[in-house]
Amino acid sequence: MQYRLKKIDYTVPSGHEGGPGMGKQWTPYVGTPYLNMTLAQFNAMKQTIGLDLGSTWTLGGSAGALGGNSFMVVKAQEALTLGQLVSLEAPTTGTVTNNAGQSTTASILTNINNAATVPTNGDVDNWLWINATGATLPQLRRIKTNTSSATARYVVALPDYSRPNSATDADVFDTLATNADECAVIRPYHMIVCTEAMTPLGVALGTVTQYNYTIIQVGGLANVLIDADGVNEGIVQDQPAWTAAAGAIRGANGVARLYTQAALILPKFAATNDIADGILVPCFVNFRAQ
Amino acid sequence: MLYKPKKIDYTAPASAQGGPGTQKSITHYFGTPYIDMSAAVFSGVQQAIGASLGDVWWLGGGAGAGGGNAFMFVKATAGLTIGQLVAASATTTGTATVPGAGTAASPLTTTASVTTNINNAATVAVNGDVDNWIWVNATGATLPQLRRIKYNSSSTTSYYKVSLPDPLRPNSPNDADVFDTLATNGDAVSIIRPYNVLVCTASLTPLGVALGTVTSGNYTIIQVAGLACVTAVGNANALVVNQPAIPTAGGAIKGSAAAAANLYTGASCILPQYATAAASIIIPAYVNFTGQ
Repeated sequence: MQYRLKKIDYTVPSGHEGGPGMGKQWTPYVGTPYLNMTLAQFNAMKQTIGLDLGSTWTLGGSAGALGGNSFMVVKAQEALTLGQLVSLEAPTTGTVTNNAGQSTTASILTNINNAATVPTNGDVDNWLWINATGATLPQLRRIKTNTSSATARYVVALPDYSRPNSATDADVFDTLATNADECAVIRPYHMIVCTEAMTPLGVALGTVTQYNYTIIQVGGLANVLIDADGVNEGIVQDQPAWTAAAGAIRGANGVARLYTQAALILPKFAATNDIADGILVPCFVNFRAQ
Repeated sequence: MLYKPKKIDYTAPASAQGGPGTQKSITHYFGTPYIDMSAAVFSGVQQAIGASLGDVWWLGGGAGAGGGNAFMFVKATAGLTIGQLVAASATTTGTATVPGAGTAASPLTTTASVTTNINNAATVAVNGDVDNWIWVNATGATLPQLRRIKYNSSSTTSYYKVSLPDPLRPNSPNDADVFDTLATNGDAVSIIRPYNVLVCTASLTPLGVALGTVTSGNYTIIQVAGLACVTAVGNANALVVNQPAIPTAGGAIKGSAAAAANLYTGASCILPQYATAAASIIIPAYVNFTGQ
């Protein structure tokens, strides 16, 4: 995962006043404007306090006043609820269309249908990866414009006004893609609900509307949802837990696991789901090594 | 692993101008003078920007401009190619030779200088191990002894000085870093070289990703976190998007059969962003080795 470390300490009001229990809050940032930001609100936050996707910070002060907890700004690609683990959205894959000159080294037409999911220029500053036939190396480029259609087009090089004799800037692909070459759109900091076979990267701090922006917790004492699948996979206090369905956690039965091996979810409350289906339990978490 | 976070943001030219895709770069620092530095070039870089082995820095800015990616200066003890995982070079082990021949090539072992049976004639230059560590498990010592190397010879019976004359103490032939206990003949010795890396294998712990072609013995920048381009071998165990991958031979990654946990990546994460069953392909993957 990518972490953009911030020097600014975005201390929450409850932190100022003594901890997450203040103001009837029991997770950081509950009730703040940061948890369910529309694009317009997020843009305002970017301008006012310099927030950006991937911004990561650790609160100072004593533990009781939230010190030692770390957070990150992300975009929710699915609706989230309090206590759910989140994971990375998979890249959108497709192929290049270039059977009649529809693609160039500056602009690629694809078979990716993003009409209902990504607005025009919604993928700007995300990445386009193309495995072009004949290229020595795969080609990774920053997306500079995109269309929103059943056959999305991605532009990676724009006119360079500093070079009037050049139609495009220097970011053109080295090798023109052949028709049906594979491509992928990679979107950093775009999160979805974690499942049992995904790598957890943080904990949702409240209800978040799909496609809105939010703050997730990436380290510290977090409240995490227990699995409610009816199977006896109770969590054990101080034994690292596993991921489960719907962003929940389950007991590990003492077995190491690929998806959580570089993370830590350490329950501070023992519960079988017979008595604890769907409850939130406090856990020390750390996803910063993911 | 040892990490020395730097406050300086050594933004790559590619990042400053728009991201890893700029100037035909597919990885950061590609094409910069930093990827394959001789000792002389690295010394120049050290003096010019204060870089030293182990320096780690995170790029700021938006993700599209390279923000969120972390890098480290290392020394390559094997030739590297773009996209290869690297691991820490093994220590060089040997035994102490006591008392030693008392010759120039094999001086007597003292608490200030240890002669060994380590043959480094072809691999390490005189003083090439300075500022690395020597570990001696001396017979009779309460604790093993770890010291900074202040001088080393290059021979079939290399010797290592851990204490030099201290001009501030004219009555003392050595500074205060002498071994507490004089080694006995045959005691185990190990030379530990931080930030020396080689090509990772299936049974080594990955610490970063090579960003270009590096000559053995040269200095380079590796990527230790962020979105990296990694060589993948998918025809044995296919790479699955967002399922942690594991190291395999030749510095490549492969899928984890049956999603089994892997000892060598237990504190790191390699998350492929492209599913493939190809025999050899460089794919984008989110990586993080800073937990190692």
